[in-house]
Amino acid sequence: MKKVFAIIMGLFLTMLIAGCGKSESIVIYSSMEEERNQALKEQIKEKFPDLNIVVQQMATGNVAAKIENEKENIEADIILGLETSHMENLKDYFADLSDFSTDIYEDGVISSNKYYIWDKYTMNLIIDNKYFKEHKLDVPETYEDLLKKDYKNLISMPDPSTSGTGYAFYLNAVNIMGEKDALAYFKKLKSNVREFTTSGSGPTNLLKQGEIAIAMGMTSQGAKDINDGYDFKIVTLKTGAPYNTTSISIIKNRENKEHLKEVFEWILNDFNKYDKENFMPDVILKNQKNNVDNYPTDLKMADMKGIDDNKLKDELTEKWSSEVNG
Amino acid sequence: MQKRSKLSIFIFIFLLISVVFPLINMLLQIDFSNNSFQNLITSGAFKEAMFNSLFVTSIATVISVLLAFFLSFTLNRTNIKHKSILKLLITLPMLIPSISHGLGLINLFGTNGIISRIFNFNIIGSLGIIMGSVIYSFPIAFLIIDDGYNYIDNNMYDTAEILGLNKWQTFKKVTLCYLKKPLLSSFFAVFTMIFTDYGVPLAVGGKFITLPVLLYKEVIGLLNYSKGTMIGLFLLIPALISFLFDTFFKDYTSSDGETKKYHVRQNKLRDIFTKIGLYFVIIFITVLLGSFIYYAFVDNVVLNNRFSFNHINYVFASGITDYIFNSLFISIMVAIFGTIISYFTAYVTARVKNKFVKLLHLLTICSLAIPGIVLGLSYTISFNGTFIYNTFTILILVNIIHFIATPYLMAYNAMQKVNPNYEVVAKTCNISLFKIIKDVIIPCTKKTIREMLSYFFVNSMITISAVTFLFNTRTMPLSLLINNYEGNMMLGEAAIISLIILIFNIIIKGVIYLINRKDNRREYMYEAN
Amino acid sequence: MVSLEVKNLSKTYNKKTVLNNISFTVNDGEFLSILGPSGCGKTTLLKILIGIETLDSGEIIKNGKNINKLDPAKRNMGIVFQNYALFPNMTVLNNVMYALNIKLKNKKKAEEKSLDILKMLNMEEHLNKYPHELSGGQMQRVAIARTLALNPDIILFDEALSALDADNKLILKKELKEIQKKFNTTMIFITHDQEEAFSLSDRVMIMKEGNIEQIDTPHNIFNKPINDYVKSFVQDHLVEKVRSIEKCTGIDL
Repeated sequence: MKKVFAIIMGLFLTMLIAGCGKSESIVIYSSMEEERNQALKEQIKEKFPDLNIVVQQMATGNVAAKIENEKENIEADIILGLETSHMENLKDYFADLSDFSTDIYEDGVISSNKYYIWDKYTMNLIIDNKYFKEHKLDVPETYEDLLKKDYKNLISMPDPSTSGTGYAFYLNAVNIMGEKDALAYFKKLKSNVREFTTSGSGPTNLLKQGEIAIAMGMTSQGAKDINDGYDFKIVTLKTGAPYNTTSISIIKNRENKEHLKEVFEWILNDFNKYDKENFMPDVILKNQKNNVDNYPTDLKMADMKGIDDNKLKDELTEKWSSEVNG
Repeated sequence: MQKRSKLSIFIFIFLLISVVFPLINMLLQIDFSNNSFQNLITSGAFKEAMFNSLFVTSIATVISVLLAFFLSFTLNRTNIKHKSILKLLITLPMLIPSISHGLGLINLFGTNGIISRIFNFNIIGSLGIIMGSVIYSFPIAFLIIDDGYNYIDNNMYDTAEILGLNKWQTFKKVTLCYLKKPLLSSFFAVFTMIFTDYGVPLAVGGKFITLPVLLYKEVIGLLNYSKGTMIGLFLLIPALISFLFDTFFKDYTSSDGETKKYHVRQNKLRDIFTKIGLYFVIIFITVLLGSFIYYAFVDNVVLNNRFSFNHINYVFASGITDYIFNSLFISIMVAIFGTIISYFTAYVTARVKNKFVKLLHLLTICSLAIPGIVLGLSYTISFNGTFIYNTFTILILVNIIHFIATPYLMAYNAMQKVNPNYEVVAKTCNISLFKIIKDVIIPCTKKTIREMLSYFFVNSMITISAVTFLFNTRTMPLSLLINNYEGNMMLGEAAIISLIILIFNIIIKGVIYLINRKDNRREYMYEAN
Repeated sequence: MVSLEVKNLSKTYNKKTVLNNISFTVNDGEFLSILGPSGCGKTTLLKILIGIETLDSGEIIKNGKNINKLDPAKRNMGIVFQNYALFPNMTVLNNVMYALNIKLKNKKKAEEKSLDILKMLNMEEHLNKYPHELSGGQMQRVAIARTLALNPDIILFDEALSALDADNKLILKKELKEIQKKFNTTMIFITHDQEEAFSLSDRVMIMKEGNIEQIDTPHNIFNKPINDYVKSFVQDHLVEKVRSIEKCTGIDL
């Protein structure tokens, strides 16, 4: 009997201790897509082979929830690619970044010292060219066009409550039509929508799977898919391409962790450049090149007034939640 | 008596900390000001989700239970061969996460699915949710009803024959009568399970929103814990009803004396029909799981149909061995500690009859009512900053509590069938309580203990909802990778993870099956009460 | 030598009086049956004697000492159940040896003694069998052997023969009497069956609703029933016996 008891206690202690050590690692929570995270991991391994740096992919909503909940106890040291409105909301938990130079950025991009813009991403309609040709459909040009019966169940849009991409479309519509009409619009649009996806890349994912024909999604993903061989086309609405931004920062009091400043510096300058030039061509950096084929240049920007206003976001998403039944 | 009371108190404290405390913390999140509750239930979104949930859940439950009944009838009342292997095959869907079922259905029946392409239809929406829900829930209903067959007094069939009842009357008066409780039990269990699941609706529901998905969006997207909890309260209702039913519905089955073996009569026609039905189900399951293999090894299902190791290479290059270790470690610990805790709790509640243990019984079972996502959230809120946070311990604990009800009930039922006089023998012979448990009661319930271990293990391997908030980079289990890959539409990779989980679960179930078979050759028939 | 005396024992359950201030003695080496219908309190009495149930008032005095608060293990009483309560995962021999081994802390001695007892009960051929391979009568013998192995002063039987068929009952009744003679153990036999009580016992104690109606030898009870209840109890039994003889022989008595 005593032997059994001892074994059980042993197991219990193992359980407690396991997963406890290794606190000299740097943890990055990244909301970027898998591809970009892969690139980040590879380059980190090359640049900092002796350091233990963990890049953990986590959806924007989850990251925000964790920060709000765990506050300064959070395991992550660096937050990367979190929607700016969340960053603004949670800025008290972030460190002061004034020590880090913003020279790499274009003027006017940086507005806070608690977080720096990581990317600006535009959105457009990405349509399945093959499908459109086969079914002889007209290419939509305005929000109104999307209501056409021809597109029944062929459209997908991210849910504004869970995705910054979705919210950008929503806010743009509100700015153009006014709140009341915008809500009525989306209620109508719902019958053409196959799904309001949780993640921002949901619609383009569905498009790739052949489940829909019109994705309201990120331009960068549309370009990538075209480059991968999918017969898609990027279509900008007459009212312009909505856009949103994500940001990067350091959790308060972690700046002094060993090597952290170094790593952050490198991400902010070197990887930043690489990332923008190869994945996110919308310009935020000085002398930013564009290595992405099929990425439409000189996009007309849509009216995104209030995109960083978190209070507005809360109100609007609340209304979406109760009225559009997203 | 003394040792048992010490045990009860210890268990009570444990349950207070692991069940009551987090739940209360969760409930405290509710913001009662501003008529928020009224606003919630009158909002269009809520009403729609509630209606949707009730709609699909009811239909799926009825189909699931009927299907399960058909299958258990086939395996108990026909002359079909290889019953035990067929039983294993039928329960295969239980071995992968529900989200995998959703993905599998999309593989086959999505707009561009393998089968949809041939037949030009798709199942996205309520149809998909119903199908997916039936697939992962019918095995559980099947197990409950199948078990019920073991407790039918087969002498009644002779009696019925003597009384001149025809087959249909016999079926109604004897079989259905004894199966009443299992049928109703499975109905409630399946209803609760489907009502609170968000894996399937998220994958195949499209814009057909159900309550759990609404909760997920409120919490993940809007960080609205208050609203999320309020929705969570509604999710508790079917489980509460389930619980009340289980407590008050008297079980009229008996296990007096020897269970006479049922003699299956010859009936070729019946056998043919049931065989066809059974194999149809098994083929469907095989095709579903096969779609994973297809997606795992095809480079890009839409663009080309080339065989490729890309997905496997990608997965293994991402450090999958760490995740596999995490999942195995968690699942094994959950199995061991979960079984110990639920076994001893069942011992106390089944063999002592007083009001206090009824409370323990209630507390243990009520975890069945708490959806995984609510449980995980409540743990995040309650244990944030404590020493168990961010360790494996909290993941192990949350899984134990999430799954404890069923193994506990298994043990409880087994305990009730063990002769109640052993303790008296022990007392009068000066044998300690633990010794009699170790030497007699545990050996008598060996088979049940194995089932409990396997239940905890398998469910820990496949769970996503409860651990979604509690993991960190060091402890992340395999199952959460599926979410990541699915979000990035890396279906091949998601399929591979599903397959890995499936393989481990099959191994464990296989091992338990073989041990049970060896044991059956030395059968113990337990004495009646 | 053992003496057992029960003085003014009372027990109430849920406001119902189950044992109403009863008193009686048990003589050394005697076979005492406690007879009565279900609900008369005999099972509660057994539980209190054995020590797994508390009493509200009164005393139990064994060998001159008050054992009210004494641990069941220390009362040196054995118990045999109607459903045998054998350990299904142990052989016949191990079933008998189990408790003895713990007591003696000597496996060899325990085994020897167990073998002896099992031989005396004619169970040598079944030593390595498991309970589910035995008949009801054989199982009951093992149960009795298990108790005997610990040398109790008093053995209590809780409806121990009720589950057996007529033939086995007869055989076991005979064996019980033999065991009693051999081991000189005091036996208290709880039953609702008049036949068993009257044929086995030195004395019978008839209970009704928590009270002792009469306690005396079967002969005395039969000839001098103390009240109407006992009278009808006995007469019914007698009538039954006569009727069954009439049936068997065809003679009208």
